Amino acid sequence: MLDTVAKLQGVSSIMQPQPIDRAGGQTSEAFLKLEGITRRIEQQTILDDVSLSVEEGQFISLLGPSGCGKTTLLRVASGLAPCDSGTVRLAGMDITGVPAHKRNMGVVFQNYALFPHLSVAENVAFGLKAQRRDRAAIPSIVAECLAMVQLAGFGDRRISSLSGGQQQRVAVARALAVRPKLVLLDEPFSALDRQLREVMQIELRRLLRSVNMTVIFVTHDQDEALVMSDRIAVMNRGRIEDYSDPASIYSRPKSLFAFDFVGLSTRMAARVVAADGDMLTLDTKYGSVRAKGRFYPGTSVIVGVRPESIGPAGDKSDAAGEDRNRLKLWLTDIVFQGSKRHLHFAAQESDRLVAEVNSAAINMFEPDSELSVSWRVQDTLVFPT
Amino acid sequence: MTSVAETVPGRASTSVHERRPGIRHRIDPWQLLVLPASAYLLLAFAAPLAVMFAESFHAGGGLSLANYDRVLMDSRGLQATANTVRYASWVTFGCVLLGVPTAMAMVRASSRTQMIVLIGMLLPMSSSIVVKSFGWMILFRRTGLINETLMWLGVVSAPVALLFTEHGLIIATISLKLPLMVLPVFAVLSQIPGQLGDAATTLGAGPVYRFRRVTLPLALPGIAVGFAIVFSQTAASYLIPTLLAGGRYPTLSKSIVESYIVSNAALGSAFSVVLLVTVGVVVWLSGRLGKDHQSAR
Repeated sequence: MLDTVAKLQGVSSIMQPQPIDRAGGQTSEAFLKLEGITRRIEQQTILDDVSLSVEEGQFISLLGPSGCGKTTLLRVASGLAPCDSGTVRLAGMDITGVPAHKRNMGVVFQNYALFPHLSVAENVAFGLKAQRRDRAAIPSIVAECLAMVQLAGFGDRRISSLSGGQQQRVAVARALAVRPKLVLLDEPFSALDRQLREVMQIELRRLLRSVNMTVIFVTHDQDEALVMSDRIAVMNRGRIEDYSDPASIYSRPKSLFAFDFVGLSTRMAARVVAADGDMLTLDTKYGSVRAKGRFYPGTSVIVGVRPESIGPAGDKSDAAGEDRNRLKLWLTDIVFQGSKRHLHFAAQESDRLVAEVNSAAINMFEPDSELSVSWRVQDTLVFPT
Repeated sequence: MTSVAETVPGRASTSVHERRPGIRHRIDPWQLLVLPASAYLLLAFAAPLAVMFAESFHAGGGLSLANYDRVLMDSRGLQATANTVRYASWVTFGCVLLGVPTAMAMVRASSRTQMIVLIGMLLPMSSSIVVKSFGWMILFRRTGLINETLMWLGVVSAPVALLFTEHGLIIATISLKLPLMVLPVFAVLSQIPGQLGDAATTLGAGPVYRFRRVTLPLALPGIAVGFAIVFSQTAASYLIPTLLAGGRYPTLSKSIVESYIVSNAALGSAFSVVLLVTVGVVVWLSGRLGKDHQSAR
């Protein structure tokens, strides 16, 4: 993981020359750099030596189940929570000891945390007044920010008179009004219903890109992370298990946890029976498969395949003559998913066997029958158990 | 987490406003349940109050303002009114000063600590005012613990007069009324989502700004309730000023009792009406204070 981070820094500092000025000459350093962050609460390790680098203008997601430490990491970055060890560096400066109210970061909270005793405009102006910005400029900044989130003319409304989506927009406008160095989003969509959530995701991403904000976004929803982010950090038990762009996280996850957490997929317990260079032959309960990887023969592993990589044997992609794995599986359920359908196969113990096919091709299959499936050897992932 | 969303002030009230807009005149049968209590209050409270009010205008066999003349123009009557207002105001002021920080600290404490402090405040309220006042009398004596300690520490060279003084009375009364301020403020503060403070902080608000612009305005309804309760309870108290301030410190409540003892029910009624109006005005003002800031822009 560390080498990818280093690679990323090298590439991005060429693409984005802006940090040079802010960093005072330290060109090689990322815009936000968390190093060795550890936090313990009553013997429990919430964050375990976490390091994360974010380039200016990037949209980063912290993805993980509840209790993985993602919100705590966000709070450490914002200064709302202390860390037991580690440093937080922003634009080349060590801000570990800087109190939260002097960090100038825009945070959007899970339940928006709008001030119920203030009007919409007063909420947006709160940060400007608290930071003693030029008073004369405040009304125009507030109007500009409200227009940005499509709430022009809502300034005099009370918070309680707004819908959930509108409240979220106010929270975004309030966070952006102070021109923060960094925007932190703590599960901002979790209180919205599904349709509105998808609209707001696209809208918020476009808005934040247009103002070139550096964003850290906390979520437990993998779809949300895949939609929104330039890079995703998959977190588990206080550690970052994988940190890469959404496509790599999805197709080449670095850990079984990341593989399992991002998407519902086929996974089979297996044993390495032979290793020829980096080509492994693995024994599963359903037959023998091959995959690339470096494991000693006799090692117990987990074989993972994304469902859309698996198709019925003998179809177009199978005939292309690539190196493929083939298994005969017992089809139990066909689950309608709109444009796609999921085929579920009989699996043993903790295994799970899922394939994804086009709805158009559905007539070919019948539940409670045997089906030959195949997928490319290069799409076969192997994880240590 | 969802419970926090539900406690955001205002959400509940919008649903109430939206409920059945057309049917305004029909009486909800459930509202009839207040009838027995209303009847009781009418007989046991409103009727005697009306009698008392009428009685206060009764003097020399006819209607007159002579009783009010004695209450508000006579030096002893005027002193009683002034003493009562000053005494209750200082006690209320002291309770706000000590009670609001206490409630703020309690909200941040663990639920275990909160429970201990709550019990510690509520338990003494179940013991008699007389006992507690006698306790203060013992402490306040020239040879009491307070004077002994102050002299031992060298703060004063001679005993300070505390017993039968106004400041002694105020100090003692604050200790007895403090829970009545802490409890409503604590109740209101614990309803405020903790994220509001975090939001203010990340927007650049330091502790002082946060208190002035977020905590205080949101706590104001609770402070207003505490203010009304402490002021009315103090202004109406009879035992505490009698035991701790003695006969040379007239108050409205003492004047009421003294009037009735000499069978001057009309004068007692006039004192009662003045006390009622005084407390009523303060309670009304504190209600306004709480409401104004809640809807303040």
